[in-house]
Amino acid sequence: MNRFRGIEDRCLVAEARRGHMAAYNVLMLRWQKRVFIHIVRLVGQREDALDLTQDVFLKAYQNLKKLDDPAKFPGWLFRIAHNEAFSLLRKNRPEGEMTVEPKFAESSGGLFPIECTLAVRSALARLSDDHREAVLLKFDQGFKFEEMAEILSCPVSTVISRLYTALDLLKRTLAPVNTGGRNELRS
Amino acid sequence: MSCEVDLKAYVVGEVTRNERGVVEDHVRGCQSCREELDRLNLTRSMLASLEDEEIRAASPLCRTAYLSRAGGRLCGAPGR
Repeated sequence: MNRFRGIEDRCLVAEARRGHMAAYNVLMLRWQKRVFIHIVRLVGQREDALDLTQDVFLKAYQNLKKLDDPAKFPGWLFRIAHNEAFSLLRKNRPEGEMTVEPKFAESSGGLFPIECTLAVRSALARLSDDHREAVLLKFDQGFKFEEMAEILSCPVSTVISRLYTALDLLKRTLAPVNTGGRNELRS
Repeated sequence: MSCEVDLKAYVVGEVTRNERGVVEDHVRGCQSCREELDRLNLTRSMLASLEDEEIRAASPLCRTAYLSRAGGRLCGAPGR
């Protein structure tokens, strides 16, 4: 496997397509954490995320020859991850069920790191699945709008709308308006 | 907010160099946009602070789990 380290994804994809398992193993090791963290933050359950991560890499391998441009492997992989995660979310949450309307949390000023982490987790959990995924793809994974649109199979304008709405909701929770030296608390 | 600058695009890094300059020039002279930008940057910083303990906790299991479980199914060349 060592000979494949440091090689670009697109070359590894080409090698894996020719049946070199070692090349695919390097791709898995390279991308597993990012795929796992994306899925676990979407579905919220560690064990489910482990199973789905395995399924993502299995499906990616089985469909590797359908990937038109090997250079687009990351976005293509996250497209599969999106499909797997939302399949589970739809199964666990019947259609039409409303997500919880975000409440406005207490001020984030002066929070300790663990409190900060909990506040962010709580705020993310209160977003709709679509809004949360837009935030994760941008801030966790660093995808550009065009890449996100391919992953989510929607127009760039929809990506921007989801991300901006999510940012507004998160901002109201995590960075409330400061009014005269104390942050505004709303309930 | 009546100003035309796209502060969110600036914060998420989806602006050209020229657009970046326009935003930075604008917020220097507009207090409300400067405060809005501060809140957006704080939000972004808090998102970035999210710890990855899920990864640390799951990484060994993750690797052994699906490399071994999937290993038997990932043999030969990928199908078409």
